[in-house]
Amino acid sequence: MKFQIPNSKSQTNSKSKIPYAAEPPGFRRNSKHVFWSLDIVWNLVLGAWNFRSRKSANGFGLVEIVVSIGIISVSLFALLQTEIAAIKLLRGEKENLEAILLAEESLEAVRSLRDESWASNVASISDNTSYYPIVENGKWKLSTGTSSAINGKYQRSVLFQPVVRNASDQIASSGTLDPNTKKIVATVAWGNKNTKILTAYITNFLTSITPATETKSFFFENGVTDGNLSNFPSNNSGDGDPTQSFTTSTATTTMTRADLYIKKVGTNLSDFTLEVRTSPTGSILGTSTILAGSAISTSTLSWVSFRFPDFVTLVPNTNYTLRLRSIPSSTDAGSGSAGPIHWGYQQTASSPYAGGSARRYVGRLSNPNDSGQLLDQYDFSFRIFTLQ
Amino acid sequence: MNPALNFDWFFCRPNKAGGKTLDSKTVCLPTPDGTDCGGRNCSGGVNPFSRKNEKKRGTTILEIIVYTALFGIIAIIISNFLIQIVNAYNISRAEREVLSNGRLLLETVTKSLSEAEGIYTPTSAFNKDLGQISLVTKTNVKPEHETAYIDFWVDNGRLWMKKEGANPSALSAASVRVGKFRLERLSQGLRRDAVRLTLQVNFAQPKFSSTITLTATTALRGNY
Repeated sequence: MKFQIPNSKSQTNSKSKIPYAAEPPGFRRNSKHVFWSLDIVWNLVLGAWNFRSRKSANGFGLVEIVVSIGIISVSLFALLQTEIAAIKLLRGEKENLEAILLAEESLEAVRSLRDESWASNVASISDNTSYYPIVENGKWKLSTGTSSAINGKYQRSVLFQPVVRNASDQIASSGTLDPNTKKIVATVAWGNKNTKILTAYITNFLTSITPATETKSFFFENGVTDGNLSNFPSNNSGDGDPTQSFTTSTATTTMTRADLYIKKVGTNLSDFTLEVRTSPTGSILGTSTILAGSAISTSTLSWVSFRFPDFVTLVPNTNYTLRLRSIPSSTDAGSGSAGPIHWGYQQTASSPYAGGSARRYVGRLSNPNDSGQLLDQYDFSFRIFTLQ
Repeated sequence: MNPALNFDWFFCRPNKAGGKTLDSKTVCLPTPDGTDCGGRNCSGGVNPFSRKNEKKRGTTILEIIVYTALFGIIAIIISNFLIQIVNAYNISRAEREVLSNGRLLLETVTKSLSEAEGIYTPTSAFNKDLGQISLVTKTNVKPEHETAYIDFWVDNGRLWMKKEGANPSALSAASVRVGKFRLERLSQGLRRDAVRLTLQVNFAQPKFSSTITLTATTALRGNY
């Protein structure tokens, strides 16, 4: 059965009915046909017309429709598959990029630890043991075991391997052990057997450079009593920041870091930062790196370092205030009633630390001009480090 | 067979060579000298562009029904294919935009960070999901100055960069939204500063959601 377009009814093959004639009868040169060559052109045009109409005369049947649909479908299907393949590749590439960056960050973390101290951060690491880098108290740290999933799927680990050098001092597979070089293998694994591995060598080159050092210049370490700031000297539900002031000596110094003897209470504390101010509500001279509230110990008071990447210049014989702030400014954190920080203190009838005084509820209820409550019998423990 | 040489066919002459007559389908012109045309009307000739001579055949209702049904099915299949292709194209475009933007933004920011000498704290916001940072750098500094500032911030879902003395420029394309530009300041010791950047880029159209989260820690080598 053939479905045909009505107008293109099958024609008989007329071509076969026109016999070939080299010199048709009645064709006379030089008679009435002056432009005989035009006849040939005409004949060509009309012949082409006849040829075309004969061609379409075969009709457009179901088979042709089915075949053309088939071709269209296959090409569309191929196009769709191409797009799907493109999506898969792009998603894979996206994961690759995320994983590579995490692996690079592992290497960067190890380099940071190397820069901090080879002896305590690299030499103490056991070889061929899986570690993973995490940020704790504003700095990198290597923990043993396996990390929790980053971005919900990436597991990363760092492996330290010993390095041996051959007679010409090149890294080789066998030779003498070089204790000042380590091979680091940073691995990121995700999904079903996807891994990215980056390898790097670190050396203890910083031993040849005398590093800048810092010393403990101003401190009060006797405040070891652990108590809720909102419960002493009397119960008070005001909210705000605790502060402790100190006085500089006769020389100009550059403050690089401050340690506070603190612990946190409660589970969901906001992040903390330490400010150096001219007075409890005065202008800010320096801000420390931000410490995650989760990184501060909940069990016992401990010395927690707040580092000031932008050093603070302290002029001689001047009183400065350390103000412990929460981020975001919270009515609960710090010295507030709910989930406060415990800052080790000492109480004596006269102020235990002559150089300064302790306060609580500074800037309470988000009022920047509120200088809080003076705790004249108390002082909090602190250590101020300066550049040597 | 070359029709160009068929003068009998061109002019409506009876063909004596083969002894056969021309069929009614073949078009031809009247002879110029008015000779006979084998019984066909030579005075007007046959219009080669007319199909008046063909017999018309009607279409049956069955044919129409079958034809319509076939056409419908085919149209549904093909349009379905086309919709899926457009969908897949949009998804792949979302992935591509997010990937290329994420890579570009991260590279730009980390490159500036690694060259930086320090951070200008008053106009920087750390530990916030949509943070901002001002860097003090010694690269591309005007001769009359010692340092220059570069600022990065997120506004309206786009990451902007402003170099000192220049107009702010958007680094991210309008087709994506920067969902997270979180900066954390790390300090591994004296003059060992680093910035940890978490960047999340989402595709702007929620229908074709795509997201990438990139993390990088960059030491401020400029201040080592």
